[in-house]
Amino acid sequence: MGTIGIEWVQKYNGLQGNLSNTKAQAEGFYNTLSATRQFNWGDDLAWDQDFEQSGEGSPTAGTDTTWADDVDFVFFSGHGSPSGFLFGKSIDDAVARPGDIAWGNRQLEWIALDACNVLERDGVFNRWGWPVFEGLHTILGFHTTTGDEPDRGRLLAQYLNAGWSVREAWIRCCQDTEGSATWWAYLRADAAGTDTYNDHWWGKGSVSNDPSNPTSLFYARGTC
Amino acid sequence: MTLSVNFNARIDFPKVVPVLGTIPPEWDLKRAGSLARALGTRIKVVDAGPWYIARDERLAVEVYQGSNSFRFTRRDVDGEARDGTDGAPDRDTAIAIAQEWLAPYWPADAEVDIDSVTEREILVATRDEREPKQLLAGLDVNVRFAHRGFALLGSGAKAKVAVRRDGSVSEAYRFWRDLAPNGEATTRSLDELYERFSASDLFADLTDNSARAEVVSARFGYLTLPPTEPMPELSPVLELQGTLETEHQRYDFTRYVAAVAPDDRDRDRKVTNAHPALVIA
Repeated sequence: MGTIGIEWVQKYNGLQGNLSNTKAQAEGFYNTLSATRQFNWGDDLAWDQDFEQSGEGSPTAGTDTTWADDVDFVFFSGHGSPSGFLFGKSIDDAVARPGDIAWGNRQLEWIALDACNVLERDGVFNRWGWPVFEGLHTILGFHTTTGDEPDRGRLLAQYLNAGWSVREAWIRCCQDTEGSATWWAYLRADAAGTDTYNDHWWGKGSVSNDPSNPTSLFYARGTC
Repeated sequence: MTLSVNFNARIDFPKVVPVLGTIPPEWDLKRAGSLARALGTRIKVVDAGPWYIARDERLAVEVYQGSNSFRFTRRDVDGEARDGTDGAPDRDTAIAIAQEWLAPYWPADAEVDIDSVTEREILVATRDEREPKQLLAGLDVNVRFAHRGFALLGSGAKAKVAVRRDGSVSEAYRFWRDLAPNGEATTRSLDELYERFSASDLFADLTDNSARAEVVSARFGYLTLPPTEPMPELSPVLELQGTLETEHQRYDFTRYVAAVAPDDRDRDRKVTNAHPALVIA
Protein backbone atom coordinates (compact mmCIF):
# COMPACT_ATOMS: atom_id res chain seq x y z
CA MET A 1 0.00 0.00 0.00
CA GLY A 2 1.34 3.43 -0.90
CA THR A 3 2.02 6.21 1.56
CA ILE A 4 0.51 9.70 1.60
CA GLY A 5 0.80 13.05 3.33
CA ILE A 6 -1.18 16.26 3.22
CA GLU A 7 -0.60 19.89 4.07
CA TRP A 8 -3.24 22.60 4.03
CA VAL A 9 -3.56 26.25 5.01
CA GLN A 10 -6.72 28.12 5.93
CA LYS A 11 -5.30 30.82 8.22
CA TYR A 12 -2.72 32.96 6.47
CA ASN A 13 -2.07 35.28 9.43
CA GLY A 14 -2.34 38.39 7.29
CA LEU A 15 0.09 37.20 4.63
CA GLN A 16 -2.81 36.35 2.29
CA GLY A 17 -6.57 36.19 2.50
CA ASN A 18 -7.83 33.26 4.55
CA LEU A 19 -9.41 30.20 2.98
CA SER A 20 -12.34 28.17 4.27
CA ASN A 21 -12.31 24.72 2.71
CA THR A 22 -8.69 23.62 2.29
CA LYS A 23 -8.77 21.47 5.43
CA ALA A 24 -11.85 19.58 4.27
CA GLN A 25 -10.42 19.27 0.80
CA ALA A 26 -7.05 17.87 1.85
CA GLU A 27 -8.45 15.65 4.60
CA GLY A 28 -11.00 14.30 2.13
CA PHE A 29 -8.06 12.97 0.15
CA TYR A 30 -6.27 11.77 3.27
CA ASN A 31 -9.23 9.92 4.73
CA THR A 32 -10.46 8.37 1.47
CA LEU A 33 -7.48 7.07 -0.49
CA SER A 34 -6.55 3.44 0.16
CA ALA A 35 -3.15 4.27 1.58
CA THR A 36 -0.94 4.40 4.64
CA ARG A 37 -1.24 7.88 6.15
CA GLN A 38 2.04 9.48 7.17
CA PHE A 39 1.45 13.17 7.92
CA ASN A 40 -1.30 15.79 8.10
CA TRP A 41 -0.01 19.29 8.77
CA GLY A 42 -2.38 22.26 8.71
CA ASP A 43 -2.30 26.04 9.21
CA ASP A 44 0.69 27.07 11.36
CA LEU A 45 2.03 23.50 11.31
CA ALA A 46 2.26 23.45 7.51
CA TRP A 47 5.69 24.75 6.44
CA ASP A 48 7.20 25.44 3.06
CA GLN A 49 10.47 23.78 4.08
CA ASP A 50 8.61 20.44 4.29
CA PHE A 51 8.60 20.55 0.48
CA GLU A 52 12.07 21.93 -0.11
CA GLN A 53 15.35 20.16 -0.70
CA SER A 54 18.06 20.65 1.89
CA GLY A 55 20.74 22.90 0.47
CA GLU A 56 18.62 24.16 -2.45
CA GLY A 57 17.41 27.74 -2.95
CA SER A 58 17.40 30.49 -0.38
CA PRO A 59 16.90 29.96 2.52
CA THR A 60 18.37 26.46 2.31
CA ALA A 61 16.50 24.88 5.22
CA GLY A 62 14.61 22.23 3.25
CA THR A 63 13.46 19.03 4.95
CA ASP A 64 11.60 17.29 2.13
CA THR A 65 13.37 13.99 2.69
CA THR A 66 11.55 13.77 6.02
CA TRP A 67 8.16 14.90 4.71
CA ALA A 68 7.04 15.52 1.12
CA ASP A 69 9.70 13.37 -0.50
CA ASP A 70 9.28 10.56 2.02
CA VAL A 71 5.82 9.43 0.79
CA ASP A 72 4.35 8.35 -2.54
CA PHE A 73 1.63 10.99 -2.93
CA VAL A 74 1.28 14.45 -1.35
CA PHE A 75 -1.76 16.71 -1.52
CA PHE A 76 -1.32 20.43 -0.76
CA SER A 77 -4.31 22.77 -0.50
CA GLY A 78 -3.84 26.52 -0.14
CA HIS A 79 -2.90 29.65 -2.05
CA GLY A 80 -0.56 29.54 -5.01
CA SER A 81 0.96 31.52 -7.82
CA PRO A 82 3.14 30.73 -10.84
CA SER A 83 6.20 31.19 -8.65
CA GLY A 84 5.23 28.75 -5.92
CA PHE A 85 2.67 27.70 -3.32
CA LEU A 86 2.07 29.67 -0.17
CA PHE A 87 2.03 29.06 3.56
CA GLY A 88 0.75 31.06 6.51
CA LYS A 89 3.74 30.64 8.82
CA SER A 90 7.07 32.29 8.08
CA ILE A 91 9.30 29.54 9.44
CA ASP A 92 11.29 29.81 6.22
CA ASP A 93 9.93 32.41 3.79
CA ALA A 94 6.37 31.00 3.58
CA VAL A 95 6.71 30.12 -0.12
CA ALA A 96 7.71 26.77 -1.62
CA ARG A 97 9.42 27.85 -4.82
CA PRO A 98 10.47 25.61 -7.71
CA GLY A 99 14.08 26.73 -7.26
CA ASP A 100 14.03 25.25 -3.75
CA ILE A 101 12.64 21.92 -4.88
CA ALA A 102 13.93 18.56 -6.14
CA TRP A 103 11.33 15.80 -5.79
CA GLY A 104 11.56 12.07 -6.25
CA ASN A 105 15.19 11.57 -5.33
CA ARG A 106 13.88 9.77 -2.29
CA GLN A 107 10.23 8.61 -2.64
CA LEU A 108 7.68 11.05 -4.06
CA GLU A 109 5.87 9.97 -7.23
CA TRP A 110 2.89 12.31 -7.41
CA ILE A 111 1.96 15.65 -5.89
CA ALA A 112 -1.31 17.56 -6.20
CA LEU A 113 -0.89 21.30 -5.73
CA ASP A 114 -4.48 22.41 -5.28
CA ALA A 115 -3.70 26.09 -5.52
CA CYS A 116 -4.21 28.84 -8.07
CA ASN A 117 -1.96 29.27 -11.09
CA VAL A 118 0.96 27.08 -9.97
CA LEU A 119 0.98 25.32 -13.35
CA GLU A 120 0.27 28.41 -15.43
CA ARG A 121 1.26 27.61 -18.99
CA ASP A 122 3.63 30.41 -19.87
CA GLY A 123 7.12 29.56 -18.68
CA VAL A 124 6.04 26.36 -16.96
CA PHE A 125 9.11 24.40 -18.07
CA ASN A 126 11.43 27.15 -16.87
CA ARG A 127 9.79 27.14 -13.44
CA TRP A 128 8.89 23.49 -12.83
CA GLY A 129 11.20 21.84 -15.34
CA TRP A 130 14.17 19.53 -15.17
CA PRO A 131 15.65 20.36 -11.73
CA VAL A 132 12.35 19.60 -9.97
CA PHE A 133 11.91 16.13 -11.51
CA GLU A 134 14.46 13.80 -9.95
CA GLY A 135 12.26 10.72 -10.00
CA LEU A 136 8.96 12.48 -9.51
CA HIS A 137 6.32 11.26 -11.97
CA THR A 138 3.66 13.99 -12.12
CA ILE A 139 2.65 17.36 -10.68
CA LEU A 140 -1.11 17.94 -10.69
CA GLY A 141 -2.37 21.52 -10.54
CA PHE A 142 -4.10 24.39 -12.30
CA HIS A 143 -3.26 26.77 -15.11
CA THR A 144 -5.78 29.30 -13.76
CA THR A 145 -7.26 30.35 -10.45
CA THR A 146 -9.34 27.69 -8.76
CA GLY A 147 -12.10 27.55 -6.19
CA ASP A 148 -11.89 27.32 -2.40
CA GLU A 149 -13.99 24.17 -2.28
CA PRO A 150 -14.20 21.09 -0.02
CA ASP A 151 -14.78 18.06 -2.25
CA ARG A 152 -11.92 17.75 -4.72
CA GLY A 153 -9.48 15.81 -2.52
CA ARG A 154 -12.06 13.19 -1.66
CA LEU A 155 -13.12 12.86 -5.28
CA LEU A 156 -9.52 12.50 -6.44
CA ALA A 157 -9.08 9.67 -3.95
CA GLN A 158 -12.36 8.04 -4.98
CA TYR A 159 -11.37 8.09 -8.64
CA LEU A 160 -7.94 6.65 -7.81
CA ASN A 161 -9.53 3.96 -5.65
CA ALA A 162 -11.87 3.15 -8.55
CA GLY A 163 -8.88 2.39 -10.77
CA TRP A 164 -8.62 5.47 -12.95
CA SER A 165 -5.11 6.54 -13.88
CA VAL A 166 -3.60 9.46 -12.00
CA ARG A 167 -4.10 11.88 -14.90
CA GLU A 168 -7.65 10.63 -15.55
CA ALA A 169 -8.53 10.96 -11.86
CA TRP A 170 -7.19 14.52 -11.68
CA ILE A 171 -9.06 15.67 -14.79
CA ARG A 172 -12.26 14.07 -13.55
CA CYS A 173 -12.19 15.54 -10.06
CA CYS A 174 -11.37 18.98 -11.46
CA GLN A 175 -14.23 18.83 -13.96
CA ASP A 176 -16.58 17.65 -11.21
CA THR A 177 -15.75 20.57 -8.93
CA GLU A 178 -15.02 23.59 -11.14
CA GLY A 179 -16.80 25.60 -13.80
CA SER A 180 -15.44 25.57 -17.33
CA ALA A 181 -13.57 28.85 -16.82
CA THR A 182 -11.06 26.94 -14.71
CA TRP A 183 -8.24 25.07 -16.45
CA TRP A 184 -6.79 21.89 -14.97
CA ALA A 185 -3.15 21.17 -15.77
CA TYR A 186 -0.49 18.59 -15.08
CA LEU A 187 3.20 18.20 -15.74
CA ARG A 188 4.76 14.76 -15.97
CA ALA A 189 8.17 13.32 -16.74
CA ASP A 190 9.21 10.30 -18.77
CA ALA A 191 12.49 8.61 -19.62
CA ALA A 192 13.62 5.48 -21.40
CA GLY A 193 11.72 2.57 -19.88
CA THR A 194 9.09 4.63 -18.06
CA ASP A 195 5.39 5.21 -18.77
CA THR A 196 4.01 7.77 -16.34
CA TYR A 197 1.06 8.50 -18.67
CA ASN A 198 -0.51 5.23 -17.50
CA ASP A 199 0.32 5.59 -13.81
CA HIS A 200 -2.27 4.40 -11.30
CA TRP A 201 -2.37 4.56 -7.52
CA TRP A 202 -0.52 1.70 -5.88
CA GLY A 203 -2.55 -1.49 -6.03
CA LYS A 204 -5.01 -0.10 -8.59
CA GLY A 205 -3.09 -0.64 -11.82
CA SER A 206 0.29 -0.16 -13.43
CA VAL A 207 2.86 2.17 -11.89
CA SER A 208 5.80 3.32 -13.94
CA ASN A 209 9.41 3.04 -12.96
CA ASP A 210 10.77 6.32 -11.68
CA PRO A 211 12.04 8.72 -14.36
CA SER A 212 15.13 9.53 -12.32
CA ASN A 213 16.83 11.22 -15.23
CA PRO A 214 13.91 12.32 -17.41
CA THR A 215 14.29 12.88 -21.11
CA SER A 216 10.83 14.34 -21.79
CA LEU A 217 8.40 16.55 -19.90
CA PHE A 218 4.73 16.63 -20.89
CA TYR A 219 2.54 19.59 -19.91
CA ALA A 220 -1.18 19.24 -20.56
CA ARG A 221 -4.07 21.58 -19.86
CA GLY A 222 -7.75 21.80 -20.60
CA THR A 223 -10.90 23.46 -19.35
CA CYS A 224 -12.91 21.94 -16.58
CA MET B 1 -8.67 48.07 11.93
CA THR B 2 -10.30 45.96 9.24
CA LEU B 3 -10.02 45.74 5.49
CA SER B 4 -12.38 47.92 3.46
CA VAL B 5 -13.67 46.07 0.42
CA ASN B 6 -14.21 48.25 -2.61
CA PHE B 7 -17.43 47.22 -4.36
CA ASN B 8 -17.37 48.32 -7.98
CA ALA B 9 -20.29 46.17 -9.05
CA ARG B 10 -23.96 47.01 -8.64
CA ILE B 11 -26.65 44.71 -9.90
CA ASP B 12 -30.39 44.37 -9.64
CA PHE B 13 -31.97 41.06 -8.80
CA PRO B 14 -35.49 40.09 -7.73
CA LYS B 15 -36.66 40.59 -4.17
CA VAL B 16 -38.47 37.28 -4.43
CA VAL B 17 -36.99 34.30 -6.28
CA PRO B 18 -38.17 30.76 -6.90
CA VAL B 19 -36.95 27.94 -4.70
CA LEU B 20 -35.47 25.38 -7.07
CA GLY B 21 -35.88 21.93 -5.60
CA THR B 22 -34.39 18.94 -7.38
CA ILE B 23 -35.97 15.65 -8.32
CA PRO B 24 -33.88 12.75 -7.00
CA PRO B 25 -32.36 10.77 -9.85
CA GLU B 26 -33.82 7.33 -10.46
CA TRP B 27 -30.66 5.60 -11.60
CA ASP B 28 -30.31 1.90 -11.04
CA LEU B 29 -28.21 -0.74 -12.74
CA LYS B 30 -30.82 -1.25 -15.44
CA ARG B 31 -31.24 2.44 -16.29
CA ALA B 32 -27.50 3.02 -16.18
CA GLY B 33 -27.04 0.00 -18.43
CA SER B 34 -29.55 1.38 -20.92
CA LEU B 35 -27.66 4.67 -21.09
CA ALA B 36 -24.35 2.86 -21.49
CA ARG B 37 -25.80 0.82 -24.32
CA ALA B 38 -27.13 3.97 -26.02
CA LEU B 39 -23.63 5.39 -25.78
CA GLY B 40 -22.12 2.39 -27.51
CA THR B 41 -21.16 -0.25 -24.99
CA ARG B 42 -22.70 -3.52 -23.86
CA ILE B 43 -20.28 -3.92 -21.00
CA LYS B 44 -21.91 -4.89 -17.75
CA VAL B 45 -22.49 -1.93 -15.46
CA VAL B 46 -21.14 -2.17 -11.92
CA ASP B 47 -22.09 -0.20 -8.84
CA ALA B 48 -18.96 1.71 -7.77
CA GLY B 49 -20.34 3.87 -4.97
CA PRO B 50 -20.75 7.39 -6.33
CA TRP B 51 -21.06 6.00 -9.86
CA TYR B 52 -22.43 3.20 -11.97
CA ILE B 53 -19.57 2.35 -14.31
CA ALA B 54 -19.30 0.43 -17.57
CA ARG B 55 -15.66 0.33 -18.57
CA ASP B 56 -13.37 -1.68 -20.83
CA GLU B 57 -10.32 -0.94 -22.94
CA ARG B 58 -12.39 0.79 -25.63
CA LEU B 59 -14.68 3.15 -23.73
CA ALA B 60 -16.22 4.02 -20.39
CA VAL B 61 -19.59 5.32 -19.29
CA GLU B 62 -19.93 6.68 -15.76
CA VAL B 63 -23.32 7.52 -14.33
CA TYR B 64 -23.36 9.76 -11.25
CA GLN B 65 -25.71 8.32 -8.68
CA GLY B 66 -26.10 11.69 -6.93
CA SER B 67 -27.57 13.58 -9.88
CA ASN B 68 -28.87 13.28 -13.43
CA SER B 69 -25.33 13.31 -14.75
CA PHE B 70 -23.10 11.07 -16.81
CA ARG B 71 -19.70 10.98 -18.47
CA PHE B 72 -18.55 9.27 -21.68
CA THR B 73 -14.89 8.52 -22.42
CA ARG B 74 -13.14 6.86 -25.34
CA ARG B 75 -10.30 4.86 -23.82
CA ASP B 76 -8.71 3.72 -27.09
CA VAL B 77 -7.38 7.16 -28.01
CA ASP B 78 -4.33 8.90 -26.58
CA GLY B 79 -5.24 11.86 -24.40
CA GLU B 80 -2.00 13.60 -25.30
CA ALA B 81 -2.25 13.09 -29.08
CA ARG B 82 0.96 11.06 -29.09
CA ASP B 83 -0.65 8.60 -31.53
CA GLY B 84 -0.35 10.93 -34.53
CA THR B 85 -3.77 12.50 -34.06
CA ASP B 86 -2.46 15.96 -33.28
CA GLY B 87 -4.81 18.70 -34.41
CA ALA B 88 -8.37 19.94 -34.08
CA PRO B 89 -11.38 20.67 -36.26
CA ASP B 90 -12.44 24.26 -36.83
CA ARG B 91 -14.54 25.88 -34.13
CA ASP B 92 -17.88 25.82 -35.97
CA THR B 93 -17.47 22.17 -36.90
CA ALA B 94 -16.70 21.29 -33.30
CA ILE B 95 -19.79 23.13 -32.08
CA ALA B 96 -22.01 21.39 -34.63
CA ILE B 97 -20.63 17.97 -33.62
CA ALA B 98 -21.09 18.77 -29.95
CA GLN B 99 -24.67 19.91 -30.41
CA GLU B 100 -25.52 16.80 -32.38
CA TRP B 101 -23.89 14.55 -29.77
CA LEU B 102 -25.67 16.25 -26.87
CA ALA B 103 -29.05 16.59 -28.59
CA PRO B 104 -30.59 13.46 -27.01
CA TYR B 105 -29.42 14.59 -23.61
CA TRP B 106 -30.38 18.27 -23.40
CA PRO B 107 -32.23 18.85 -20.10
CA ALA B 108 -35.86 19.64 -20.89
CA ASP B 109 -36.10 22.57 -18.49
CA ALA B 110 -32.76 24.24 -19.22
CA GLU B 111 -31.70 27.08 -21.45
CA VAL B 112 -28.51 26.12 -23.23
CA ASP B 113 -25.56 28.34 -24.07
CA ILE B 114 -22.26 27.54 -25.77
CA ASP B 115 -19.98 29.06 -23.16
CA SER B 116 -16.62 28.60 -24.85
CA VAL B 117 -14.58 26.48 -27.24
CA THR B 118 -11.11 25.76 -25.91
CA GLU B 119 -8.05 23.83 -26.99
CA ARG B 120 -6.84 20.74 -25.19
CA GLU B 121 -3.16 21.52 -25.41
CA ILE B 122 -0.01 19.50 -24.76
CA LEU B 123 3.50 20.90 -24.65
CA VAL B 124 6.39 18.46 -24.91
CA ALA B 125 9.89 19.47 -23.82
CA THR B 126 12.95 17.37 -24.46
CA ARG B 127 16.45 17.92 -23.21
CA ASP B 128 17.94 18.39 -26.66
CA GLU B 129 15.38 20.87 -28.05
CA ARG B 130 15.23 24.49 -26.95
CA GLU B 131 11.54 25.07 -27.61
CA PRO B 132 8.77 22.72 -26.51
CA LYS B 133 6.62 21.11 -29.18
CA GLN B 134 2.92 21.93 -29.12
CA LEU B 135 0.24 19.30 -29.75
CA LEU B 136 -3.53 19.59 -29.76
CA ALA B 137 -5.68 16.71 -28.61
CA GLY B 138 -8.81 18.41 -29.96
CA LEU B 139 -11.28 21.09 -28.96
CA ASP B 140 -13.49 21.21 -25.88
CA VAL B 141 -16.96 22.62 -26.52
CA ASN B 142 -18.18 23.92 -23.16
CA VAL B 143 -21.90 24.37 -22.50
CA ARG B 144 -23.63 26.19 -19.66
CA PHE B 145 -27.20 25.77 -18.52
CA ALA B 146 -29.66 28.31 -17.14
CA HIS B 147 -33.19 27.93 -15.82
CA ARG B 148 -36.01 30.43 -16.36
CA GLY B 149 -33.42 33.10 -17.06
CA PHE B 150 -31.42 32.44 -13.90
CA ALA B 151 -27.76 31.49 -14.20
CA LEU B 152 -26.84 28.08 -12.83
CA LEU B 153 -23.43 28.52 -11.23
CA GLY B 154 -20.77 26.10 -10.04
CA SER B 155 -19.78 22.77 -11.49
CA GLY B 156 -23.05 20.86 -11.36
CA ALA B 157 -24.88 22.34 -14.35
CA LYS B 158 -22.77 22.19 -17.49
CA ALA B 159 -21.77 19.95 -20.36
CA LYS B 160 -18.68 19.35 -22.43
CA VAL B 161 -17.89 17.55 -25.66
CA ALA B 162 -14.25 17.00 -26.68
CA VAL B 163 -13.93 16.75 -30.46
CA ARG B 164 -10.84 15.32 -32.12
CA ARG B 165 -9.28 16.35 -35.43
CA ASP B 166 -11.20 13.65 -37.30
CA GLY B 167 -14.52 14.83 -35.87
CA SER B 168 -14.92 11.96 -33.43
CA VAL B 169 -15.92 12.57 -29.83
CA SER B 170 -13.27 11.46 -27.34
CA GLU B 171 -14.92 12.63 -24.13
CA ALA B 172 -18.20 14.16 -23.08
CA TYR B 173 -20.20 14.79 -19.97
CA ARG B 174 -23.52 16.27 -18.96
CA PHE B 175 -23.90 17.45 -15.36
CA TRP B 176 -27.48 18.22 -14.39
CA ARG B 177 -30.22 17.87 -11.82
CA ASP B 178 -33.87 17.77 -12.82
CA LEU B 179 -35.60 20.73 -11.20
CA ALA B 180 -38.93 21.15 -9.45
CA PRO B 181 -39.80 24.71 -8.43
CA ASN B 182 -40.94 24.61 -4.83
CA GLY B 183 -42.30 27.95 -3.67
CA GLU B 184 -40.56 31.26 -3.34
CA ALA B 185 -38.03 32.91 -1.03
CA THR B 186 -37.20 36.51 -0.20
CA THR B 187 -33.70 37.63 -1.06
CA ARG B 188 -31.38 39.66 1.10
CA SER B 189 -30.58 43.20 -0.02
CA LEU B 190 -27.41 43.83 -2.01
CA ASP B 191 -26.04 45.94 0.85
CA GLU B 192 -26.56 43.09 3.31
CA LEU B 193 -24.86 40.66 0.97
CA TYR B 194 -21.89 42.98 0.61
CA GLU B 195 -21.72 43.39 4.40
CA ARG B 196 -21.70 39.64 4.90
CA PHE B 197 -18.98 39.24 2.31
CA SER B 198 -16.85 41.98 3.89
CA ALA B 199 -17.17 40.25 7.27
CA SER B 200 -16.23 36.83 5.91
CA ASP B 201 -13.17 34.92 7.02
CA LEU B 202 -11.44 35.70 3.72
CA PHE B 203 -10.51 39.14 5.07
CA ALA B 204 -10.33 38.31 8.80
CA ASP B 205 -6.61 38.97 9.28
CA LEU B 206 -6.18 41.75 6.73
CA THR B 207 -6.28 45.52 7.21
CA ASP B 208 -6.23 48.56 4.96
CA ASN B 209 -2.54 48.86 5.81
CA SER B 210 -1.72 45.41 4.50
CA ALA B 211 -4.12 44.69 1.65
CA ARG B 212 -6.57 45.98 -0.93
CA ALA B 213 -9.73 44.19 -2.03
CA GLU B 214 -12.01 45.00 -4.91
CA VAL B 215 -15.16 43.35 -6.24
CA VAL B 216 -15.43 43.87 -9.99
CA SER B 217 -18.45 41.79 -10.90
CA ALA B 218 -21.55 40.41 -9.22
CA ARG B 219 -24.36 38.26 -10.47
CA PHE B 220 -27.28 36.43 -8.97
CA GLY B 221 -27.75 32.74 -9.67
CA TYR B 222 -28.20 29.30 -8.23
CA LEU B 223 -25.14 27.41 -7.08
CA THR B 224 -24.93 23.76 -8.13
CA LEU B 225 -22.66 21.30 -6.33
CA PRO B 226 -20.50 18.63 -8.01
CA PRO B 227 -22.56 15.95 -9.76
CA THR B 228 -21.46 13.37 -7.20
CA GLU B 229 -23.26 15.21 -4.42
CA PRO B 230 -26.97 14.83 -3.67
CA MET B 231 -28.53 18.30 -3.54
CA PRO B 232 -32.22 18.60 -2.58
CA GLU B 233 -32.28 22.31 -3.49
CA LEU B 234 -30.07 24.58 -5.52
CA SER B 235 -28.61 27.43 -3.47
CA PRO B 236 -29.57 30.99 -4.43
CA VAL B 237 -26.36 33.00 -4.22
CA LEU B 238 -24.66 36.18 -5.24
CA GLU B 239 -21.46 35.34 -7.10
CA LEU B 240 -18.74 37.92 -6.48
CA GLN B 241 -15.56 38.12 -8.49
CA GLY B 242 -12.68 40.43 -7.74
CA THR B 243 -9.07 40.84 -6.74
CA LEU B 244 -7.25 40.77 -3.43
CA GLU B 245 -3.82 42.32 -3.21
CA THR B 246 -1.50 41.83 -0.25
CA GLU B 247 2.10 42.88 0.24
CA HIS B 248 3.13 39.54 -1.23
CA GLN B 249 0.69 38.74 -3.99
CA ARG B 250 -2.25 39.85 -6.09
CA TYR B 251 -4.83 37.27 -7.06
CA ASP B 252 -8.36 36.89 -8.35
CA PHE B 253 -11.15 35.36 -6.34
CA THR B 254 -14.68 34.07 -6.86
CA ARG B 255 -16.91 33.71 -3.82
CA TYR B 256 -20.58 32.91 -3.26
CA VAL B 257 -22.75 34.62 -0.65
CA ALA B 258 -26.09 33.11 0.39
CA ALA B 259 -28.74 35.34 -1.18
CA VAL B 260 -31.60 33.95 0.90
CA ALA B 261 -31.63 33.66 4.68
CA PRO B 262 -32.66 30.24 5.97
CA ASP B 263 -35.35 31.97 8.07
CA ASP B 264 -37.05 33.16 4.91
CA ARG B 265 -37.69 29.63 3.73
CA ASP B 266 -40.83 27.69 4.42
CA ARG B 267 -40.35 26.12 7.82
CA ASP B 268 -42.43 23.12 6.79
CA ARG B 269 -39.97 22.02 4.15
CA LYS B 270 -36.91 20.06 5.00
CA VAL B 271 -33.86 21.94 3.83
CA THR B 272 -30.85 19.71 4.22
CA ASN B 273 -28.27 21.76 2.36
CA ALA B 274 -29.26 25.32 3.20
CA HIS B 275 -25.71 26.61 2.85
CA PRO B 276 -23.10 24.39 1.22
CA ALA B 277 -19.56 24.72 2.57
CA LEU B 278 -18.40 26.95 -0.24
CA VAL B 279 -21.15 29.51 0.39
CA ILE B 280 -20.64 32.40 2.78
CA ALA B 281 -23.69 32.32 5.04
